[in-house]
Amino acid sequence: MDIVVCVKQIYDLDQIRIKKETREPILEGVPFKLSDMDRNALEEAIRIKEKNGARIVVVSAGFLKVRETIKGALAMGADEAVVVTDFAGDSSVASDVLATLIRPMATNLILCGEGSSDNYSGQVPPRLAESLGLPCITFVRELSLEGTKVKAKRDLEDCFEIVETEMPCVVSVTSEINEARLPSLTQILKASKKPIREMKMVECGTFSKSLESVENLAPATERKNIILEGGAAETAEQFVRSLEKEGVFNV
Amino acid sequence: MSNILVFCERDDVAFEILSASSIVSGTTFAAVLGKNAEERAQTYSLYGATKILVSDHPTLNNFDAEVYADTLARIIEKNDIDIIFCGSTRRGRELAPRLAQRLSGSCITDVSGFNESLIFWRYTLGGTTQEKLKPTREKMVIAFLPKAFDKIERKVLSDITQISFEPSVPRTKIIERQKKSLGQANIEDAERIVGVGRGIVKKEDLVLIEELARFIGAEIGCTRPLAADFGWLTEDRIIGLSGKKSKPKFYLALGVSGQIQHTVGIRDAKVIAAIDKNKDAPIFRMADYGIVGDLYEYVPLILKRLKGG
Repeated sequence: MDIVVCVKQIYDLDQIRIKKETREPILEGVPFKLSDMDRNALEEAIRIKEKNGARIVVVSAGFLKVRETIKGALAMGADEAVVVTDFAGDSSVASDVLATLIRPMATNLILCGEGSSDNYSGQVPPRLAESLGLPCITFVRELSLEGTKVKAKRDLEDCFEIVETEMPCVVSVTSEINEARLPSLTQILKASKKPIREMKMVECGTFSKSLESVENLAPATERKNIILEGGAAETAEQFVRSLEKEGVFNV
Repeated sequence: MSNILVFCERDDVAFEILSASSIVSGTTFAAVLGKNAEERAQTYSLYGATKILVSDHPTLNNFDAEVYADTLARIIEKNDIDIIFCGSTRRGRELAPRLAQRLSGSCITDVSGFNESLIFWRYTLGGTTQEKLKPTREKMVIAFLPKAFDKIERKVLSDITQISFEPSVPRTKIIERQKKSLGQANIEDAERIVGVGRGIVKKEDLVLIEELARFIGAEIGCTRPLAADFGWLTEDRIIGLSGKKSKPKFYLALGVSGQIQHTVGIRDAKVIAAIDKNKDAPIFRMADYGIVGDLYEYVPLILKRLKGG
C-alpha cells in the first residue's frame, strides 16, 4: 500500500501583521507551518499505516524553508518526502507540479486537505485527480479501505453522502476527520534521518500561471469602533440605545 | 463579446449568479441538469438566461463532479463558451477546479464579487486580505459564494434546448445519503445573527443566548470549536472561512475573540456589535459598538432593557 499525502507550507496566519498606511500584509520574517487540514490528511494516512501497513510519501510544492516545514510531516510519521523548493504560482501551477511529482510513483491513494488554511481555494485535489485521470472524493470526514476500494463519508451542506470508489483515487479530508497528532521528541529526532528529495521547478517542466494578482490588501474597515467599558447598567443602556438608533432591531 | 455559461446545482444560487452576470456583455447560457430539469428551466428565463440547455438524464440525478464536469465541458465546446460561472457550494468547489483542469483554464473559488473588466475578488491569507485576481487563460471557471449577489428578475426570451448526448458513467458509487439532523439554522439568509464563541463556559449557558436571539429575531451562529469540537451546536451554525458566510443587518458577537477565520464570514454585516472580557480582543477592531465586560452580566441586562423592564 502506497499513500501519497500532499501538504502545503503556509505562513503562520496568526503572525501576519498589516502595514497601516498601505494595508499590505507584512510577510517578511513570518514563520511557516503545515496547513491544518493537510495535517489531518497525513494523520489519516498514518492511521491506515498503523492498521494495515503502508509507505507514506509526502509531496509539497514549497519555497524558502520548506525543508523545515516538511520535517514536521516526517516527524508525525511519513516515511519520506519529495519537495519542490522554489515554487511560485497559483493553485493550477501547484497541482501541475504535484502531478509531475506523483506520476512516476506507485500510488494507491492520494490524500489532501480539503483546502489550505491560507487560500482555502480547494483546487488541488480535483485538479490533481483530473490530470492524473483518477476519481476524486472530496469533503471526507470518515474513511475506510475495503480491499481495492475506498469507502468514505462526505460532509456536504445538506447531507452526508456515503460513497465508494476503486483505488487509486484522490481523497480530500475535512478537519473533523481526526485530530492530528503532535510528534514526540524522539520522533522529531528520528525524522532528520528520513529522506527528503529536493527538486527545482525547472526539473518538473514549464508552467504558466493561470491567474494574475492585481491587488492583495487588508480590506478597509469603516467601523465606528465605539467601545464602552465598565458601569454595567449604564453601559448596557447606552449600548442598546446606540443599536436601536441603528435600527438593528426593526422588523 | 463572450459566451457565458452559468451553472449551479442549486437553482437559487444560479439565479443570483445570472443576475450578477448581466454586467458581462455576451450571450448568457444556463445549464439545468438532473431531476425536473425541464420544469426548472422555465424559471431561468426570468433571470436573464437566453439559451437554456436542459438534461434530465437519470445519471444526472446524482451530482457526480466528474460526470458534471464532463457534461459541461461538452456544452462549452459545442457552444464556444469561454466564461463559466458556477456556485461555490461544496459540490461546486469540486466541480469548478475539475472542469478548469479539463479546459486548461483559470479557476477561482469562493469569489465574493467582480467587475466588468473580469477582475474577481476573494479573501485570502485566512481572511486577512482580499485579493483581486485576473484570469490569464483563454477559458475561466469562476465559483461564486452563495449570497454573493442579490437575485434580480430580468425576464428575457429564451430558447430551451434538450442536450442530446449521454452523460459519462460515474466512477464513484453513492451507497447512501443521510440527511443531516440539522437544526433549522439558516445563517446565510439571516437578518440578524447572535454569534457565540469560547467566552461561553458551558453548553447549558446557551439557554440565555437563545432567549436573547429569540427576542430580537436572530439566528445563533458560532465559531468552529463550539460545534466541531464541543458539539454544543449543530455544524450548520459555524460561521467562517470553512463555514457559512453571511451578510446580516446585525451581528452581535458574544464571547467571540474575533479570529479572522471566523470573522471573514460576517465581515460584510451592516452593523457589528461585540461583548467580550478581553479589551484587546480583535473583534473590537471590527465592531461598531462594543462592551468590554462579562457577557454573563451584560446579556441579562440587555434582555431586560429590550423587554422594557
